[in-house]
Amino acid sequence: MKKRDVVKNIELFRDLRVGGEPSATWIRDTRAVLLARVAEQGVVSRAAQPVTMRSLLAGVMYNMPRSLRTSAVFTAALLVMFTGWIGGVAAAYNTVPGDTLYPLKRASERAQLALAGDQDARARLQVEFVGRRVDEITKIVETPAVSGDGDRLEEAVSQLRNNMRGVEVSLATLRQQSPGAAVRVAQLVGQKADEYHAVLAHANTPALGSESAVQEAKNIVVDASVKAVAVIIEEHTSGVGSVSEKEVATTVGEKIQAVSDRVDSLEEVRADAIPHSAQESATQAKVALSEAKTLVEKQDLSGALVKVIEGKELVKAAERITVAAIEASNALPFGMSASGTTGIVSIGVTSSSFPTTVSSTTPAVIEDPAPASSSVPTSVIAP
Amino acid sequence: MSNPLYEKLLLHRIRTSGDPEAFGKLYDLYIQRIYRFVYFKVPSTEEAQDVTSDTFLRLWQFLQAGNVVQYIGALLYEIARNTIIDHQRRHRPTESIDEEFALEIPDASGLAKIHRSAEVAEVLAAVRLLKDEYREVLVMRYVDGLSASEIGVLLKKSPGAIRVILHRALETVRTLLEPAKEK
Repeated sequence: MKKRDVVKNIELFRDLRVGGEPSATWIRDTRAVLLARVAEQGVVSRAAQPVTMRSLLAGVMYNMPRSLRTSAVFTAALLVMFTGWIGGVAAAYNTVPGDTLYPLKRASERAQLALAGDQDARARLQVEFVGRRVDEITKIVETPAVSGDGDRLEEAVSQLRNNMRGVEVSLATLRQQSPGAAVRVAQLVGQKADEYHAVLAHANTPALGSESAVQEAKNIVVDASVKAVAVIIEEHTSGVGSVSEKEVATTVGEKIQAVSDRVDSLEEVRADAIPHSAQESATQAKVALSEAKTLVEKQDLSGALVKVIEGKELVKAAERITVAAIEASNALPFGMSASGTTGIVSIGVTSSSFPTTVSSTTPAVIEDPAPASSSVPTSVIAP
Repeated sequence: MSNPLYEKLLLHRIRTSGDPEAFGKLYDLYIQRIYRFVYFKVPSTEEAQDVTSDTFLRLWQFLQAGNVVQYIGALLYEIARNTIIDHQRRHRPTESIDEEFALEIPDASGLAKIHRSAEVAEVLAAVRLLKDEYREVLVMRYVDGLSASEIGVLLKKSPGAIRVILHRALETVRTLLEPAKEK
């Protein structure tokens, strides 16, 4: 046989099973099994990290042959010199809404989301971005007040809400695709939301009007935290999640404690400024949380979570009433008090935007409450 | 042939965010080549499948450990080679390659569709008898369609050395086929 014929025959191997061509079914099945295993290992071994333009370039350089690195560095240096773009992206990461480079930061985040390979990565990125919005909010409220701070805060809170909604959408999709991965993301959301809430709770808010913005941000992360627990419980109940009964009970217990802490801080720190209606809400919240504890002991975790949500909504209402009263008080001339008066309405919170009651019945688990800035119980305006 | 920049971006996604989907794309790029590479070194299809999937799992663990990767293709072949060695240590072959091959030839429904099926079977048998280095280069060049330079990168040899190996491998196949013809 001629050399040319040998080559032609060898080339035919690629179409033959006996020539080493794997079956399409095996390729597909192995891919699914491998990805499930690596997804499991990946979540354990590392949390999602933000992808910045700097890290992207670093990644390419890191994987580049040494012989090419010198020329690559030179090329990158030229790029920096002539465009300043990379520096711009890096600088943009410390910006807040209203800054010139802030749109660049947001564009970079959108690009990262677009490049995210799956819902799991997307959800983790959104959680990371929520953290950035929290940083932006604290940065704005803690720096000396300048003109336009209200708009900046409003935008930061709005973006925070959008990012958190993105987390929820990704989580919902992930539950359809991979319930196990959804549970792990839900755990991450719960953990991060608590961290973000702590950061916001310790933010110093000297500027007028900033309290309500921070309050709204806190409510957004707390709502997300509770929803995450709901996902964990639901997946646990359906027997899909890998979380044990004890872990779920611990998670619910932590949420009870977190809401209890909010009641305590409300009563202790602002005791002199709490309107009567807020005190009533706080008391009802305590009752709901006490019932939640009892239900946890009875291993009725879903019932306990419902009570946690009830307590959370009551605390939220109490906090809103208190914040509104404080801001009204700050707006009034020295010596006058807004607490327990209708004066609050005059600072921009209209009666039509208030919910009619603070329900003590069990609210739907996943239902979004009305935005905090537009919902204060009617009891505030009652004489 | 693969796109190095695309592979580097996939590697970056795996390294920075442990992205399984990026890993899936790398799998898609290399699964057939790695399977074929393994297939000619182990006695059965089942073992080739086990070793191949184990190779990709090891690749993931290697990347997750934060190790530097210059060229993913070369790394994969190296991992595959080590995985085969480990596999052979654990599982001593119970039947010879010839016996296995004899079992495979009747699975010729695909062969029947090819005009020169008898010739293909003979060449396949001859390639099976080659030493690893010759067989690897032949398969990479004529089945996977890689250039001498690309094979050189994978096997850590110069393109000239690959061309020499290729020439010798083809000559060896021809030599193996000639006595069969004469018979």
